[in-house]
Amino acid sequence: MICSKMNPTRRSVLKGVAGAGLLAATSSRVFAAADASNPILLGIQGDLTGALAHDGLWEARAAKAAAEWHNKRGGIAGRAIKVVAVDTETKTDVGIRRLQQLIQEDRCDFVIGSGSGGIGVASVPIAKDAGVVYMPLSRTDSITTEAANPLLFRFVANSSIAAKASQQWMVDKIGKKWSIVLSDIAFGHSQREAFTAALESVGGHVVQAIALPPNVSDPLPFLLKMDRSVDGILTALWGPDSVRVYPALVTAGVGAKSKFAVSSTTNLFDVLKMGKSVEGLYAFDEVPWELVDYPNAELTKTAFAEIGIGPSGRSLEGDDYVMLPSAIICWEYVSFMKRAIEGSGWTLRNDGLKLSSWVAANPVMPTGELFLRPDLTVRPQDQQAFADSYILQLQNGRMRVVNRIPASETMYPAKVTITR
Amino acid sequence: MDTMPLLIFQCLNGIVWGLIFAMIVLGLSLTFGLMNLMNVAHGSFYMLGAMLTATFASGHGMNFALSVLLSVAIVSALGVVVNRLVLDRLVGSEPLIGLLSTAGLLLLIDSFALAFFGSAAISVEDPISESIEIFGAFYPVYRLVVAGIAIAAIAGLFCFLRFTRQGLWMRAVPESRELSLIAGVSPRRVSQTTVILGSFLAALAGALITPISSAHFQMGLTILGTGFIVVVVGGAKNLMGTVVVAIGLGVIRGIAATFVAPTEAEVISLVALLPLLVIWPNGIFGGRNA
Amino acid sequence: MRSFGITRHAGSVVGIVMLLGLAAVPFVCGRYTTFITAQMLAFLYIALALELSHTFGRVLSFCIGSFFALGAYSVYYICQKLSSELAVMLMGSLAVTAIAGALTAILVVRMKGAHSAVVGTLAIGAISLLLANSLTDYTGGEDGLTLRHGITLLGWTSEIGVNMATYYLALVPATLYLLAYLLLRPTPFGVVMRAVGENDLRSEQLGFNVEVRRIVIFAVSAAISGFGGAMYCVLIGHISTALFDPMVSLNSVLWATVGGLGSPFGALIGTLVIYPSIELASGAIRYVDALVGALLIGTALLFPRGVMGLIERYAESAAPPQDVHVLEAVDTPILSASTGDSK
Repeated sequence: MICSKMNPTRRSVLKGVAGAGLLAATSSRVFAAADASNPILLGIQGDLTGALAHDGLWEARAAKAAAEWHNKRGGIAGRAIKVVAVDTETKTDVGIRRLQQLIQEDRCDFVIGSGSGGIGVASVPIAKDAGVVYMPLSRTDSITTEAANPLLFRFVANSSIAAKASQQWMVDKIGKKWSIVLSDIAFGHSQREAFTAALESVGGHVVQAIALPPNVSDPLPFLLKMDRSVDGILTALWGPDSVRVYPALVTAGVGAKSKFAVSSTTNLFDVLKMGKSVEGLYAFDEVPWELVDYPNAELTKTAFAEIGIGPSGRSLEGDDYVMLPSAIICWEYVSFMKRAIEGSGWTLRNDGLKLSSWVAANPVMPTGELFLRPDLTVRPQDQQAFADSYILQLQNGRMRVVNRIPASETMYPAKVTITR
Repeated sequence: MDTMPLLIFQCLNGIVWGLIFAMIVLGLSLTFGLMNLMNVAHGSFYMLGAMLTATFASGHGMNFALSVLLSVAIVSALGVVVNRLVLDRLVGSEPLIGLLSTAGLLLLIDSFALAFFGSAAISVEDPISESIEIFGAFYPVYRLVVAGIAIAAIAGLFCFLRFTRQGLWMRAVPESRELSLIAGVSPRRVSQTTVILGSFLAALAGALITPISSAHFQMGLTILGTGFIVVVVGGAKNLMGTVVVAIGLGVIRGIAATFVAPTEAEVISLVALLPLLVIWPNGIFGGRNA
Repeated sequence: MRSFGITRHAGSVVGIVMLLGLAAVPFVCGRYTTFITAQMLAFLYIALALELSHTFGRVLSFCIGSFFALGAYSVYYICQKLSSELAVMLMGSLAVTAIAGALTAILVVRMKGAHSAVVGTLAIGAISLLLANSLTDYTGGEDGLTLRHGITLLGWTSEIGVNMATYYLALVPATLYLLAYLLLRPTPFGVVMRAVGENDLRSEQLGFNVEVRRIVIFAVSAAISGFGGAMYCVLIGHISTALFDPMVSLNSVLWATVGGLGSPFGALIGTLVIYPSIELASGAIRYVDALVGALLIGTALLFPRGVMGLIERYAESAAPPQDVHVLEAVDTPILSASTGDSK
């Protein structure tokens, strides 16, 4: 691995050069101390306990690491970033309260949102009404369609992006006839709708949908009804269901069929530890897992190291799996704050629209230490970001990139146009 | 799969799952019947059995059988502690007080599980991956082994209750606590034995199903509702009734799953229980007295 | 004539003081405190409904939360499709949940076993959650539906969210319900209702139609819970199928029991003890559920009659010895009329 072979002196020199270059490009103040007396308050609406606890802890960790990294480099417009993290307990009513706490009690002007769909959908209008910039981690489509507003910037990919990005590859490389196994919840249904429409647009066909009640103890009886003539099996399952379904597909006799997991579901459980039932599994993902698969590995390493992620996308300490796309996007959200605040001259909460106008004029986020994903662009109409996306495959216990989809090919038509 | 082999598979699977479920809820039935306690923390013993087994087997590479034994031993010991600290003090209390405190226990244990094991689901590899052909349907051998263990455990429990002195006491105390005291039976020891047996069975069930269902810190909650329903429909103090209803529920769900969507099959199996609660208020095998 | 000393009603007095405190919150507390109090008020209705159903209807209802959710969704659809007049939305929601409650009650009151009604309602709650999650197109599933709408209240314009109008709209009906309970308790109507709740066999022998009364009580409790859900939708502006989870009902059982069953003031006190405790704890500790668990165990073991029982025990021990009361049996908060032993 590149990281381990480098000696510390060379590594820190490279880091310093890259960092200085970047700072020189974005700010005239290089390494001046950030002013902690007038901080920019960043709230993290974290899922620190409950069903999404594992992911939420990595997301909070990444955001805090990013804030600390920027603070060491002069902060944002000379001001330190102060992070306030709260716990939604992965419950919608609690998540709503915590957001209100961040907005009203802690006076946060920026909030990185929960990864839970329900909490995200509930939170968007609350943040909008309060004039607070909301940066969601939930991937529900409606957040950047019906609910889009000038203070909402979404860097995570929703089901429409995942489906559009994957459609051609799925039909060309695997086949036209698909079956989908989904968790019988809103997440699963939105993935089913998006992928069914996407595949049909390129000559594919979803012939069967098996919707499993969430937390079903034994999916095998339902999977036996799988149409065995399909070319591939699409899975849209939340974490605990995935862990049951993949081995059950083997028992059901369809384990040899190509399997494709929709966006980010392979980050919700330790897929690398599941053995032969997931060997060869394809997955759509917003980011590569292995550092070597990043186009700018040298610069990407900064974020990995600061957050505590090793070169194969797992934790540096303890060999834990990481909710990698969300962690990286949290890093990018803080970077986005840096660029947008300094670029637009934002100083206080009421300046929210300045950020939106600036982004509309400067939609491209340059790849480097700040933004790890190539061609990251925030579309002005709905402030949904698009970047190069990936199809990964689990090969011999490692998730490797088998296809890269350019950002332009992931852009579905905007369903709303924000008025500023 | 063709309809006939699928139906055979579903019926067989329904029986197997029914036996596993019976193992989980027998403990619930015992505490309900003996201690008049709605022990909602019972699902936590099941969950801990699964989490510990998965951690030992997948996390530390321990042999599966050894993982199961170790997990069951730990959880049974925990059952003793829980009984001493909480459950024993609730005997004779109002049922709602029992519900309140065991709900508190559930929250405590599940929080501990989250802190210690994390929120991610942990899978365990099948110790036996072969399948066997039965009337045209291929059925996994491991599940048959689990069903065999479940039958042995349930039979063992019945023999214990029928043929041992402890078992006699366990049957006597609910009938008349006062007479039992006069006869020199210690109700506290009987309660302890009940809790140990219940936690043992639940932990064993949790441990054994990990290759099928994986282990997740919230899995205790998902079996709780159906567990109570099965116990009451079977007759709150009737263990055989609990076993029969558990198997019946599994078979109904399996047959329904052959013909309708999964969620509909789940709903049908629950809806089927409702009229039974009307026709037999004290459970199908509950007898005339509650 | 009966004499009612203040000590017999110490719990109710404490409850009234709490209501006055709740009325003052928007004036003395900040916006955040007002917000979380408003959310708590919506959930309070579930605890009140549960207590009513349990004490007078002899059913510990684990589907009471489902009516809360049904009330919330009713308001959503009435507002979106029919009328944004709040009175119409709330009355419509009450009607829907009362009818649903009555239909459910027709089945549930026939489950005459000691525990069969409890698990019957549990099954109904579980079924409602499964169906709600499956019918994503109508319910929005776990992502839910957002309501952002201008609303009118008898001519005055308002909006969805927590404001003075909606806060008091959430508080006042609960206050009226609690006061009505105090006023009706000593009346013949109140006595009959308690009799039906405590001993249906005897009540039937005395000529009261127990089954019809229990169906009506269940329907009314469903409507009360539904009103809470309606207010939740109006206050928060977001609903999801998480509201159908039987855990919502379990929480209300716990709050009401901590407070002390047998009086709706117990439900009020229990809610006001637990809810703010959780809120305060969440800032200090990571695993809030563990604290709640410890709180529940402590309450169960140390205060089996709940906080109300503790207050009344303290008041009785502090009262002068000549404070003797007639007809204690009628007025004592009853815990034992729980899962129904038909004698």
